[in-house]
Amino acid sequence: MDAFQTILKFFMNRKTAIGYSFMALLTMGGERVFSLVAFRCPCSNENFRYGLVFLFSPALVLLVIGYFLNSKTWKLFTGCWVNPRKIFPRGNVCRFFYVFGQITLNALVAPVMWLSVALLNGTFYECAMSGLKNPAYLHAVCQGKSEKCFEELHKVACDKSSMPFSESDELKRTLQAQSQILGWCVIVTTALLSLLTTCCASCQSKVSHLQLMFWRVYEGTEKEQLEQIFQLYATKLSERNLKCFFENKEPEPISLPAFQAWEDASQLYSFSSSKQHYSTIHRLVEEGQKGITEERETMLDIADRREIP
Amino acid sequence: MDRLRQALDFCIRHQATLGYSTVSLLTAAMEHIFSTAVFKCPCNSGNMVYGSFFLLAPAFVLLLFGYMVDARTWRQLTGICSRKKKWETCTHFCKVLVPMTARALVAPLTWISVALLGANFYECAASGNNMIELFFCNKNKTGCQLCKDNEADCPLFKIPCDEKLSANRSSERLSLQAQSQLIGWFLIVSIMTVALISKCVSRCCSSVSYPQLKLRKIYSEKETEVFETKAEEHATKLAEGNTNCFFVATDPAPFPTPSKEEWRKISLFLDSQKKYYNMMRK
Repeated sequence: MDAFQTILKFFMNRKTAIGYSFMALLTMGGERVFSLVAFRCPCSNENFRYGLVFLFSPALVLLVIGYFLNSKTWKLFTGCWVNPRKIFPRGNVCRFFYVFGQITLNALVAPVMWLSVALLNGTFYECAMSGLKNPAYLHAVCQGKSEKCFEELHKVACDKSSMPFSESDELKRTLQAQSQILGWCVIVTTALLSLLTTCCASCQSKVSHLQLMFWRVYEGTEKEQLEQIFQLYATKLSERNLKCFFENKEPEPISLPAFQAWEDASQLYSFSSSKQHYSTIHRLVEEGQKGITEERETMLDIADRREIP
Repeated sequence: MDRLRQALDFCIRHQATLGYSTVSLLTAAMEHIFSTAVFKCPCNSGNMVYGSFFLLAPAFVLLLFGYMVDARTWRQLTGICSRKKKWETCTHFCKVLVPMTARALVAPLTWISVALLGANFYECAASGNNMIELFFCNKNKTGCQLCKDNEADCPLFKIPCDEKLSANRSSERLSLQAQSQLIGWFLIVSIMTVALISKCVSRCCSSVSYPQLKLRKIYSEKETEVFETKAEEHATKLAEGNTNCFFVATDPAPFPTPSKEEWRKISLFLDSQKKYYNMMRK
């Protein structure tokens, strides 16, 4: 049992890497399924539109799903219509854009994976670019080929052109090569940008590495404790209410936080460089409900963006 | 259960070696998959760019991942801009950058070596321009298959796609595949030699003895483990106290927690000149 615990702990420590690998495998599988089962290049003047739709629509869908599944999105937007000051607090208007930017970067992981895998496979790009009627592009691709290339390039993806096999095969290979080079460029650029942004964020951090690690552990533990206490109080309250309903008695008072306390506890957290508070609830409990935006705060909500091993 | 426990202990004792071996095996497997399923040499003037991209771009991406995944990178970088003694911090960072880069280079160098041994990428890239052909040709330049500018049907470009063309080339000259494998082996041998020499030099220059170095390493690992356990316990107690106070609306009991300055001090890396095993012992 102890051995299993050790093995489980090993995998739990690397859950972000495992999660991303699983997402990559799922994207590769999904792309394969689409390109084998659903994708049928029309081999007409509609190639360009068809290929681009297959390339970008799944990416857009994955981006939207990424927004949906991130709990920070709902933390940011819940109640914003009723009280716009929640998302644009006085003296800190840019905070909304900073947090929204972080959420977007997190949500962009899956679409970028899809685009990389789709471009490395080459099918969608090959179909799309064989239908592009740009004269400069056609001249570059059909250089050294017969005249038929200019008119029949869109049929090359289905092997239906009247060009000799060697020519059409070379054209297919050229288009696939362009697609794969573009795919590698996307992967290299994304990897470089994410390393640079993470480095910049880390370098400018006002909090040291170990304290940041403790902060992450505290966030996870507080979330678990909140779930447990919600269950406990919800059980108590519902038991009391149903008992009073059936027995027709007066309810005993159960103290729960006030509406304003819930509002204050729901705000997104910014680490204060002078105090040692690890969450909004921590600060609320130690300072009371004086108001969250009194001091100038340091924007250090980077804990969700990357794994600290 | 006992055997499983023993196997687990073995894995934990040699986790660094096992980790690097796993990374190398995975890289080799990925290279094989890419080379068989994804790579298709276009066999025209774009060969050089295509082959080089497949050889070098994944290596660069693996290097970046190597930096991102290494915990010591972030331990060094976190908060570096807000430290006061910037020059000392930069010197220390440069000293730590070399071993960090060496660790991050394992996967990219594995990729390049395995790709060169597989020969597909090099063959495609080398058949894309005249440089390599001229280098390996005989001195009289007879039997060389050179390509003129803008020549679309040059036989040199078609070599990766046509096995007969490759076999018909002069027997005085190494085939592109043989060249690739020779370069691959040369790279592997040089990497091993450089690794051995640098480890020898670093151990020779070490100010502590072998058993003390071993003890320091084991202590460092144990301290990290215990730190994680204590951090969880401390965080659980603090979170319990805070969430109870939020619901019951009482004042929280005072809960001692390390100050920001103490956290900052223990986050700094061990300076090899000091006799302490780790900053926490201070």
